[in-house]
Amino acid sequence: MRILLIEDEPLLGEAVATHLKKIHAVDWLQSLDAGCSAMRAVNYDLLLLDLNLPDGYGIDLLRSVRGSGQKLPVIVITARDQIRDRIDGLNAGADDYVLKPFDLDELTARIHSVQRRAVALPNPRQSIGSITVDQIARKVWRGDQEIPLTAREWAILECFTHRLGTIVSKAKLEEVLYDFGSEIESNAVEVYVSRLRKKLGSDSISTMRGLGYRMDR
Amino acid sequence: MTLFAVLWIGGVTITGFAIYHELDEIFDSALRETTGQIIPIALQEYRLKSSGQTVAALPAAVATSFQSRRGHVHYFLQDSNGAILVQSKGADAGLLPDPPTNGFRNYGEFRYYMRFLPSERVWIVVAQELHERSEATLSLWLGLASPLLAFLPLAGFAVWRTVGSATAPIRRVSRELEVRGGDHLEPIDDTGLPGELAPVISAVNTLLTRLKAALDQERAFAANAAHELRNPIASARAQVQLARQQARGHGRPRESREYRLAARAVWTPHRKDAADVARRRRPWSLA
Repeated sequence: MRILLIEDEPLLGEAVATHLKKIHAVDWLQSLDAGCSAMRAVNYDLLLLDLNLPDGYGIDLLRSVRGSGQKLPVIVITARDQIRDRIDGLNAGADDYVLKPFDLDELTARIHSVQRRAVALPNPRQSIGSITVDQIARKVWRGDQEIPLTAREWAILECFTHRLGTIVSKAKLEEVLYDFGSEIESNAVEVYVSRLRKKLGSDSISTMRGLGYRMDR
Repeated sequence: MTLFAVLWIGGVTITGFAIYHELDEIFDSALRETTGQIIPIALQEYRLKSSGQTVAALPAAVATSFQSRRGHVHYFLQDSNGAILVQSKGADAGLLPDPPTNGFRNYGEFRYYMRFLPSERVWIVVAQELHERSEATLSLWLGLASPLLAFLPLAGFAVWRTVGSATAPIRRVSRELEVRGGDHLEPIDDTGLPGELAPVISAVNTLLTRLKAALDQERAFAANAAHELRNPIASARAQVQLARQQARGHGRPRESREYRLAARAVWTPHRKDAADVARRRRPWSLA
């Protein structure tokens, strides 16, 4: 999952980004201007949005996101603890409202919860053909046997599990892999899809020529 | 309204008494005139009786004259000792005042007019029933009071309506203030208020506006203070948690950069001015 974090507090932003990068691709930006530019360029899966930013108020960006019709899940992370602020944030279109200070693991859990709701998968444990995926434990089984996956392999699999039955473009998979390394090889997507096929079964992921890949239900 | 009614009642009372006095004089004058007409008849009857002749009935013209004087009139002739010499038909001798004196006098239910006739050395006493006068007086009072009795309810209704419509805006404001909660500091609607009350409501609205502004500033201050405190704490907590995770991952505790940064974060004053941020608020284009 590719996450955009807009947080101007350097120490907090650094900690959150570092924590989330263990399992997700994270772009951390410190202003609304930079965040807007990033959102125009990349199709993010989730937005973590601080409210008080140097160049404006996060709620305004949130309203713009909702006003443009985007269904991008948004979690507001803020120190504004007034009931009125929370109501304003949720009414502006936020999917969740996390008050500072927060626990990083709780933030992760909330991200997964919001993401599950966004893809209409309330149960974190999915059965896909012969494999079972636990989104919380981040584990995969084939039959009764647990299959170890690397972080990148998991990122690719998670991207497929959120889009079962639909074609996932190579560009989207590259976005998912983007943050795991400074450089992405031109054939990185093919490499990781191939590795997943070996681990999960050759028919687990179909190639749609010229379009991308698809994992069926 | 009440003053008007009191003045009216006072005026009617004074007028009533004046007219009652005049009526009394008119009745007395009529009684004196009637007496003048009765005297020759009574004397003729007395002379006939004294000479032992039969007493005839009063002439019809005289009887008609008596009836026209509004009420029954009785007469007596008395000598100086009070003995009744002649009396009209139906007259009750037990009602005569004793002794007779010249002039008018009320006695029992009758008004008497008494006069000494020196030529015959007898007293003529004529009595008229007082209820005739009472009826006339009552009619007079009713005539004077009936307009007032009809007017008072109408005037009361008119006053009630006028006062009600004039005080409706005041009652509206009163109700609005009654149902207001402590947090409702919006200005009071001052449309349609009487000119005397408008400045008061205007002053109250000014006060409410200032109070609301002061409370908003207080809330903003508290929120900003909380914000300024929460940010460094959140940074410190996140950095410490991250450092612990990394320490566990490396299998040994360490004096990490994250710990130092976390400590610094707590003591670094945040200078982000919320007011500046608020001034910079604007929509963001994602197109």
